[in-house]
Amino acid sequence: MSFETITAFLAMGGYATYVFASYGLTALTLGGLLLAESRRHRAWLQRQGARRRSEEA
Amino acid sequence: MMLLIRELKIMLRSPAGAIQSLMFAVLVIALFPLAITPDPDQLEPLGIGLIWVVTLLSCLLAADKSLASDYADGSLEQMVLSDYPLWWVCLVKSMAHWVSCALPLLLMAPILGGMLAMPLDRIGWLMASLILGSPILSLFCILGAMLTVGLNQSSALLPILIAPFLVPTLILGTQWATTGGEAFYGYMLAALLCLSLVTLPFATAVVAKIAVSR
Amino acid sequence: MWRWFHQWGSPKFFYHRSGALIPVLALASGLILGAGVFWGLLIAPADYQQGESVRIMYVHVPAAILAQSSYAMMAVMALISLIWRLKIADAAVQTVAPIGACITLLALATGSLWGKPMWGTYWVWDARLTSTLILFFLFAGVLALRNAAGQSQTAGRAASVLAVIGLLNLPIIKYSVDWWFTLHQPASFTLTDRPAMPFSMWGPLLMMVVGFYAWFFLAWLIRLRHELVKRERRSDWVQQMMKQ
Repeated sequence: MSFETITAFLAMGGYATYVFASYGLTALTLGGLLLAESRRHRAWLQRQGARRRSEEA
Repeated sequence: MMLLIRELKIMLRSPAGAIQSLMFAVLVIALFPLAITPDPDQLEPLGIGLIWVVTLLSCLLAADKSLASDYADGSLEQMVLSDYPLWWVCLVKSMAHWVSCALPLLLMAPILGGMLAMPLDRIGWLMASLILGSPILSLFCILGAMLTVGLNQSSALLPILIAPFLVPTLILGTQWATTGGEAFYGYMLAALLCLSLVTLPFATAVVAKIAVSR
Repeated sequence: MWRWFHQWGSPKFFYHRSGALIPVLALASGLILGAGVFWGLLIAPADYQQGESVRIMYVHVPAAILAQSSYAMMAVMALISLIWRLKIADAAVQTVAPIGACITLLALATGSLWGKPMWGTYWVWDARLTSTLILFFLFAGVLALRNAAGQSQTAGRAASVLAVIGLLNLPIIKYSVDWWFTLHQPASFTLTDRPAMPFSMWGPLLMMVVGFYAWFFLAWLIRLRHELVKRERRSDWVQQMMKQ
């Protein structure tokens, strides 16, 4: 472990804002894109299903 | 060859485009002292870069319209289908664009330089860099025009597409002029010009076929 | 052998076979990225010059690498789509462009956040950041052209040509930006010769790069499958699938 205590970890030698902001942005981007893609696909499938059902009715 | 003469004739008949490019350039150059400072000591180091950027912008603006009329009246399609080698057509178009847009600016460069407190020897190098570099700009601009011809989009689309490709020319041209003719940049710029002359007309021809099939 | 490749060119085949890849990629990217972040953020040592801020490298460098390779992959797909007229290649180009653009933005943002502790300002016109900015404009150009030209086949071909031209110009742009920067390099950040990176630092870096790539292929695959189904929605196999 590179850090003695959790406080030291959270402080990041004074650079906490930058380091955690970078990692946060990365997590947001990577996770967000994945989520957005899957949700878009599922929403589209649902809409197609609904449209088909209304056509058959 | 006939094509080239035809293009030049069309341009000579309506010099409005060339005059507009010129007016635009002079106007923008005039804006900078107004916006920043009239102090010649501060303007002088910026001069080469500003004039290069203004040339680049003028070329981009003129490119938008350059193919529009040809597309509208169907002559673009005729050129694609004709017996002329398509790369030659594209090269001629680029030359026409250069003559109508970049050449007037080139001739005006001493005046523009004077407006920005540029000493005479620097103006000389500026013109040399523009002579080598502006044809490259025209070649890319015609490529961009061919990519966007016939789309009813904002006139900002072409600059967005082409501007990154103009960066090397901009850097090399300004560096060559700023360093007072350092050979490395001159050779690189000349190499880029040769490369562009040989490859871009063919690329534009490929795009022309796509554009016409819209 | 050729037929094996040819099979993958069919949207139906691709869609059905690639479904199995998704959980694999999801698991792989999750594990590798998780382990990489743990290693880089907690275990790896601080830099003697930059202190703890060097940990940003573990997200910035993979993003930058991925930004460039995703453009290259897009251009290769574009070339394939132009030469062999494969619909799936065209869909690949369309789907990778937004992902690549987002990753480039991430690289720019993390680079900027790294720059503040390193050089004192959020933005510096150094060679790498400037090239990444131009890369973003290249992505934006392909996206803008695609958007403007519509969904037709010719629109796809125009955007593909632009992507290929972009790839060919990329080395020229990179070199000229490098020359521009070395000429103007301000004294404040001369690049001192750093000692070679120890394993404790390039280990997590490599792991993060691999993890980023795994994530990239996952995101691209999900998006590509969605695009294929959308394009082929009138075909039999899609109709069959939706009935279930």
